Amino acid sequence: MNTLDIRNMTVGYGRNTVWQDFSLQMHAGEIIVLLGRNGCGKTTLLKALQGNIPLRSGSIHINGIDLASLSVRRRASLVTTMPQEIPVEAGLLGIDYLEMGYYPVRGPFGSLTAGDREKIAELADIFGTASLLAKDLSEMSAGERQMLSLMRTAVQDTPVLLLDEPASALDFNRTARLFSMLKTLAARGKCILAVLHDPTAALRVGSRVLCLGDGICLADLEPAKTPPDVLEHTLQKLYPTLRLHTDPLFCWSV
Amino acid sequence: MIGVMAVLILLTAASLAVGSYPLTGKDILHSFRELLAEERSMPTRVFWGLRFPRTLTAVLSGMTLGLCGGVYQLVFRSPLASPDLTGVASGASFGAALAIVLGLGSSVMRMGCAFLGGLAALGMVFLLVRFSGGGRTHTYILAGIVISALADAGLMVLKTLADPERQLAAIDFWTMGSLASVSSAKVLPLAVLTVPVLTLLLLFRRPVVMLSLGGDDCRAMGLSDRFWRGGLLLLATAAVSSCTAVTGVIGFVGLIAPHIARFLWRYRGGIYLILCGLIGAVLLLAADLAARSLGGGAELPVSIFTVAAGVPVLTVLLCTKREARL
Repeated sequence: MNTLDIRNMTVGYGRNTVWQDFSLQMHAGEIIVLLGRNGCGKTTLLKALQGNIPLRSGSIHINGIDLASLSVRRRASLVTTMPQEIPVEAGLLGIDYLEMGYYPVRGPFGSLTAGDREKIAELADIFGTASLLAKDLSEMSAGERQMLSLMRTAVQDTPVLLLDEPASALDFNRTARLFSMLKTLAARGKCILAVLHDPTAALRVGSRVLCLGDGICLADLEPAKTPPDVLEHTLQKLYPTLRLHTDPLFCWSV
Repeated sequence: MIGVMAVLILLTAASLAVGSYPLTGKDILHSFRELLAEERSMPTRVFWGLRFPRTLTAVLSGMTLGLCGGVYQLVFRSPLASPDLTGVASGASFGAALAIVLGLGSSVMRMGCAFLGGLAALGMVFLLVRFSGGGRTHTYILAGIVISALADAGLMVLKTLADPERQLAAIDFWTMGSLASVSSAKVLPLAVLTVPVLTLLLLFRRPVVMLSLGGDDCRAMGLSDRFWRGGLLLLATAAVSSCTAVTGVIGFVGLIAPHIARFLWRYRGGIYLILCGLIGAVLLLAADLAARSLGGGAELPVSIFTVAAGVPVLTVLLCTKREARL
């Protein structure tokens, strides 16, 4: 049973404290969506969880293991981040990028086994990205790179997944596929933490939605169990002009 | 790949044969037979005393410069990166100049000083990086620039102190690079230092390529970017430093070999780094052949030819713009 447990975490840059005493517990199968305006500290939160910025105080445990005590490689077998964008590195193919997802397991010298490659091919079929394997990263569109990046996190197969605006460059079909993939992954027992900018998407995909203000959590909603008027009222703290409708024409689901 | 190998073998053969005392294929075969003989004929002595060490040095140094150039460009994520970037060339020049000015006569002493100068520059760069608490790519580049400037200033001081008749010329000649003074006594330490490092760098090619994606991505995939970036640069720079100690400063090979490799192979995985090394060797062998045959009996500095070849190549790559994202 995968769990993520953040206790009284304080992080910041220089003299600037971004999160003070932030706590969050999540279980396997949950998709927590972080909503918040630009610069409210969402990315900082993900960075702290990945271990890219040191904690001033508090702790992060995944499956009961304290992340602070782990090497970078060991940590990456428990948690990985899908960044906002991956670099446009000419001369690397999609498959090269995906194979890097095996680094925490195989290490700097270990070559991939036939089983590893098979698993990549299988995942590519599930994600519908088989055509990207032999394509150069620099020739992919931003959306294709995003799908590839999501696939790399799936290859890495960590209990906790952090996604930073995973759908920012995706077209409609791919967005729908991304969300259905997230639900599949969650159903397989992952803890998924995603930063999104679209509140409607957040309500559809998130089992919990956190509304973040500057360094504080304004609300922790469970869309499925919360009446629409409460949802609307709460989301309006972040998005004053937002109105929730249940117009069937604009209802799509994943 | 096969083409590059063929050119390399051809140039190696030419490099063994051509010189002020030309050797034929028969002479070279004969030399191998006479390797352990007591009495050696003239061609055999020329071969083992001059040609073989010189050719081997050209191949080893070229490979080191090319391969390390490839590593630098990936690790620094910049097509402009080259082994000179971390101040090695300047540090080694300073060390060699110091040996010349202090009158440490033997060439092996000079070589040792150059190597120590290069390593000292590298050490200072690492100290500076550590002190600044950075460890990101541009911290290394900035620290390299600072240390280079420091070593260059020191070099200028030494030049003003040097005896203008002999020492100044020797310093200048050294900073232009040449394979003329290579002897078997210098090749052995070079081989001992470079071959293991090159092997290690090839073994570490996965982390090298991963570093080209940047620090955040590396850490998300479990690669400690600080550790690997520092370690790989240390290895590459130590190898380049030992080459520079033997040959003097050779410009441009480390910069253009990776670009040619990219142009030919269009791919950064697999054999890319090996190809960088082979192309580096080809470039340096060709430049050395030109340096000793075009001067009309006199030895020319090899950097004249590496730079003269490098500029048009880089210009063509820039203009075709197929892969060179400058």
